[in-house]
Amino acid sequence: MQRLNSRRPRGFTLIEMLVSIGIVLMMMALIVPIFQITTRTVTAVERRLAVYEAARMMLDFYQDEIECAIWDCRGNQFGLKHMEFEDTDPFTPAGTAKRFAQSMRQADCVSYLKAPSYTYYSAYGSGQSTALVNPAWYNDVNLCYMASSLEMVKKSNRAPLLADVSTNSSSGFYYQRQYGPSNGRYFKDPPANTITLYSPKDHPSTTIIPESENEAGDGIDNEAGHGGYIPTIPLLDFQISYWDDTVHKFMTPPAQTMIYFAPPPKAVRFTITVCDVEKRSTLTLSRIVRVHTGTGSGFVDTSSTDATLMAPSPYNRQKDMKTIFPGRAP
Amino acid sequence: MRTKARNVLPRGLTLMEVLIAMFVFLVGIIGALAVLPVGISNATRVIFQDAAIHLSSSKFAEFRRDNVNPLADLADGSGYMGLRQEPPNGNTGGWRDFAHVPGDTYEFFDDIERYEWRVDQDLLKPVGQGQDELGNVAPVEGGGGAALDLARVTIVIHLKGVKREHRFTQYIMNNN
Repeated sequence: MQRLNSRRPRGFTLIEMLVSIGIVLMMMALIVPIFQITTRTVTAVERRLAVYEAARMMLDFYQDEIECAIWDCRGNQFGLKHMEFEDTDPFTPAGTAKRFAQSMRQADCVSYLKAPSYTYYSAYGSGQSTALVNPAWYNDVNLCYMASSLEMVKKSNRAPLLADVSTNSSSGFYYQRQYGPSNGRYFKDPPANTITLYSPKDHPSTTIIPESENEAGDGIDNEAGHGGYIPTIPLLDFQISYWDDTVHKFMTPPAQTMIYFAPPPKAVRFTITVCDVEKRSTLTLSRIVRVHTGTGSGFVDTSSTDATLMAPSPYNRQKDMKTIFPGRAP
Repeated sequence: MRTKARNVLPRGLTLMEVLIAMFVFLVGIIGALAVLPVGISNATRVIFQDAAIHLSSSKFAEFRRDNVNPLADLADGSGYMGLRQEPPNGNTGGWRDFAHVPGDTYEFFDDIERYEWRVDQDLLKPVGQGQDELGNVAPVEGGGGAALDLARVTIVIHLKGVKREHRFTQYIMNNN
């Protein structure tokens, strides 16, 4: 009889184990979906934060660049080009309600002048860091471009980008430095007291300045060696509208069209659509940027012997570029 | 007489103990999950703040583009605010929607209908005569000269349906 009371611990019974396992299963059934939902939500929010961060960085860059833009003596040399392409990526099916979520990819370009900063190959001469150090060079400027990589890439390389929009690099920019008088200048050259407009023949390819835009869109390569891309996040759309002060609206140039402004518009609106690398989330944001057009009292050298340079510039000169991409209906 | 029955070892966990342990475990899991919504809420706040940065920057650019005279043009009832800016949307506080129908300035901005804005009229006060109402030192021209004719312009961006709002301030020359 005493052995019955001194037996070893028996552990759990089968019933106890079944009940416990049943409870665990019920708890898991309750908790796992909650965990999954929460995880998905957190992932989506993090993805959203990432595209917001990328968009903010891009728009800040655009704003900083345009606010540094300068003009020639006629308020000239500010150009917008509006390009549209149909992508073939099923990620962006056509027919959605929102314009910038459709398969139409906006690939605009803005060209402007900017005072160059110091580099080893400074236009101000060896070792001269700024224009103020060497005033004889203060008239040299950079011709700058900002465009989507879809616009910047050579035409032959565009199809893969349109087939997989996540392979698009984000915005590109390009600088082409102007050197000595032999290449021409935009601004008045004090020593020679002459004004010479930049001649497209000096840089025959891939620019969008007046009379040279016939090659625009065929790829602005880096033959001048000063350009790059912001390799951050896929940029689906890069669209630029200009402020029309007569109708008080932002206007978008027609597709495949270049507009030259003299003087520049009072403001431009950058609109971008970005997506994350997994192409799950998109974000469309816009930013209005004031263009520093000045007061209109800019200097004009009336002593020039070149009358064509002194003639008033027509406002909003527009050039139809539809023949550049005949395969793409505007 | 002492029996061996009083010296048996514990036989393990009872069902009640297992149930209590499970309950504690459940409470712990729920507690851990409860932290995640807080993170999501903070992320949502960051997204709102980010959108507010874009929108306020654009509004300031509009004001400068239009060469506004802040004290006159940005006051309630001014011609500029009546003709060139969005009308009040009827919500308490003088809020205005961002115009976003096709062709409007803010047509391409995700979730733009969720945001509203106003120019804080209380802060539209020229500085340069002592301290402004926030206690900041007023800028004056060097050598004790005349006060710079600056106006402090504050744009408030509000997310509809919540109390949260963000304020952005810039100084704009009053006679620019």
